[in-house]
Amino acid sequence: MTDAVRLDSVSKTFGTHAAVRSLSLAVPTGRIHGFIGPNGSGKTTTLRMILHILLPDSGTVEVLGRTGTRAASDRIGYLPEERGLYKKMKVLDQLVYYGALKGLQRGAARRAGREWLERLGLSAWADRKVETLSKGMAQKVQFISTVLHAPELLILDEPFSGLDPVNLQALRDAILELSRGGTTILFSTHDMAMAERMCDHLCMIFRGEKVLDGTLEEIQQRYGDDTVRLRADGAREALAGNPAVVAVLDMGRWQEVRLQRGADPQSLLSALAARTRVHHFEVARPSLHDIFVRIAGPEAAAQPAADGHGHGAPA
Amino acid sequence: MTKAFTVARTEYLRAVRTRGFILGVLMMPVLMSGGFIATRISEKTADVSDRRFAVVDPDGRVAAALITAAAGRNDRGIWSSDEPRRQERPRFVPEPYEPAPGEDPVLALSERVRRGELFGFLLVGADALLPPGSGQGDDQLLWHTNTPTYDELPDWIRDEVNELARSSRFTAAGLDEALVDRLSSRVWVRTMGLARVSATGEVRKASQSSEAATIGVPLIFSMLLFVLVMSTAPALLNTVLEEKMQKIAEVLVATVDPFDLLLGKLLATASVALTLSVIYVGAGLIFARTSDVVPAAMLDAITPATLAFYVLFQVLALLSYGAIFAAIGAACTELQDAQNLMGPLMIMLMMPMFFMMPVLQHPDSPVSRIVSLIPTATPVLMMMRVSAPPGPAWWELLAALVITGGFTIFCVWAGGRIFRIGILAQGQSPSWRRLWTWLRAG
Repeated sequence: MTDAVRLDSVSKTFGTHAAVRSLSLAVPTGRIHGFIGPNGSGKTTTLRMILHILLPDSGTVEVLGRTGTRAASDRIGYLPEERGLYKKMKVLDQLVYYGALKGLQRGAARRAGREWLERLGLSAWADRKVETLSKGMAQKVQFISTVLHAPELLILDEPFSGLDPVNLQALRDAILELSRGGTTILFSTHDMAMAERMCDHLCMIFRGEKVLDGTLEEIQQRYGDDTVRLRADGAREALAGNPAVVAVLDMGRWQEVRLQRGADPQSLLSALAARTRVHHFEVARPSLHDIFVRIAGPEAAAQPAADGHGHGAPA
Repeated sequence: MTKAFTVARTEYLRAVRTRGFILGVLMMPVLMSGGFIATRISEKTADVSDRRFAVVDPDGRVAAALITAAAGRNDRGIWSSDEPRRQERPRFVPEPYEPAPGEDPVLALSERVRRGELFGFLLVGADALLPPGSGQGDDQLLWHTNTPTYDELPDWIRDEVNELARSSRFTAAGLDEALVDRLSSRVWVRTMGLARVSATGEVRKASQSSEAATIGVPLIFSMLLFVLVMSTAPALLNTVLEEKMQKIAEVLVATVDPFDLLLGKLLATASVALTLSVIYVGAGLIFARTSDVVPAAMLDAITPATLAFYVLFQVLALLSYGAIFAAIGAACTELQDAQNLMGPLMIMLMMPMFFMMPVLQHPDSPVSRIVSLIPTATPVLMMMRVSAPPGPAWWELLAALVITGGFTIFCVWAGGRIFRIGILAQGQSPSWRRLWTWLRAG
């Protein structure tokens, strides 16, 4: 399988700040590739280099078989994190403009725009100005402007932020359908649950360096099965002081517990049962959320930036 | 490049389809002719109440002459020419005033003016009608009023008293006034153009020079050029700033090369200004040909070359000014920052206005020649010189085109480099130093 995007030892520095350091990355064609990392880790800079908005200081960026040019830009759709639409322009006119910029004939752009508006329940708004739309509607219009020209590569930066569940579902269905149709999707998000559910492949970048790369199974396997997911009355208090517990990720009704290496989950269960009522106890692989926090949580953040390896990963 | 045209097309239609554009098209002639219209309106609705005034004239001759002249004027000089006749000007009503013994007429009459009984009063010196130096020195005419801005009445009084004084002085000297008038009539100088031989050998005589053609045409075209450039190019700063603040810029530059984006915007701006030019110049020419208000010499002075230079200079000005405005817009994240950066530039861009009248009066002076070759001033001032006889030398025109063309290319190139980096830069207050860094790095 060929790669839709291939970055080879790419670095980018702004002044004295190294935004991306020797990053190599391959996004296989036709897959949904999750791109995660904390704020300021270099995700947007990487996406901008893929889009040729920024040029790398060193290394090569190959997109849809083209290296170092904008030649592929009409085959890419890009939804930036911060949405940008002309407030005073009518919805359909805006879509036609963005479509035309991507090389579509105006008539074809108009037809495609109407189809997508119909599909996402916005037909009635085609001739309204963007400023009259709700935030969720504007986000869907922005999404349509990204996919109108049927791109081969779709780059989505936080596509679901601020959407209600109904709109989120509609947008996710549309993305999955495009994926089934063969579109490669590079998808940057902070929503770990969404990334777990949607992405075939994940890459995490932290302080400008790649710290995770693989399928969810591969990544979870790497982080072992030292995790217990449990629900118990007064779980926090019951877990307090237990020497086998390294960290507790408190999700309110649920707790995700990381055990000392070699610790026996059965001992933890016994200790808990002796102190409180346990409703659920499951030995599990760590969630992506937990892995993310292990790598980029406050403890890791306190380490010097030069320590580019290890980031909480087991030896 | 295709994308630059796509940008240009959309931006152009966005600009000309707005209500603001249509209103602007209609408003500009209204604003430019506002003074004329205001005068006409004030004439139509003028205050025509009587201007009653007292005349303190010990001799009595001035008062009598004013009463006679006012009667004639009130009968014939204050009415509209069309029927039914309508009073357009106020009647002047002089009334002789003889102070009571021991009374100070100025004090007494001032009080009457304050009470609104009189508009003013005239004090006539005993020697007012005598030739200077021949009386006791009491030759003043003093007009007292609390409405000194209304000068029609004192002007009329001055003219009438002068007429009377002149007539009485001639009579006293035993001279025939009509003969003196004839002998002292002025000699006039007419300004003519130059004669020339046409291509067919025909001699074309020099024709009388028309101020409307030699001053009106250069002034109209250079002003129109300046006004249209300054009313369209600065909009680029706002649209680019808007795209940046509303995060549209990132979507655009992911699709279009920033230089193509800038070029598209410049083409759209130039097209908007040319559209306005076509509307105004076209309407002006149609009006000039169909009405007899505009002198024929003025129409003759508008040649195809005038129009061609107008288009050329306007496009050059729009591309260079527009690139500067767009680059500033791209470099800023707030309007306040943009205004701070624009301050020094505006002085350069306003320069043609400062030199417009000196250049019009002395188009071939060394100063005119030098300032019309300074790139930010060239389009407006060279436009003025091209349409004001005798016009610049060919080498000056060539130099102007080369220098301004080069300056335009530099502005678009430099603007493109600043635009490329600035359009995505956030959270940094721009400075000239930073723009310079971007210019070198872009």
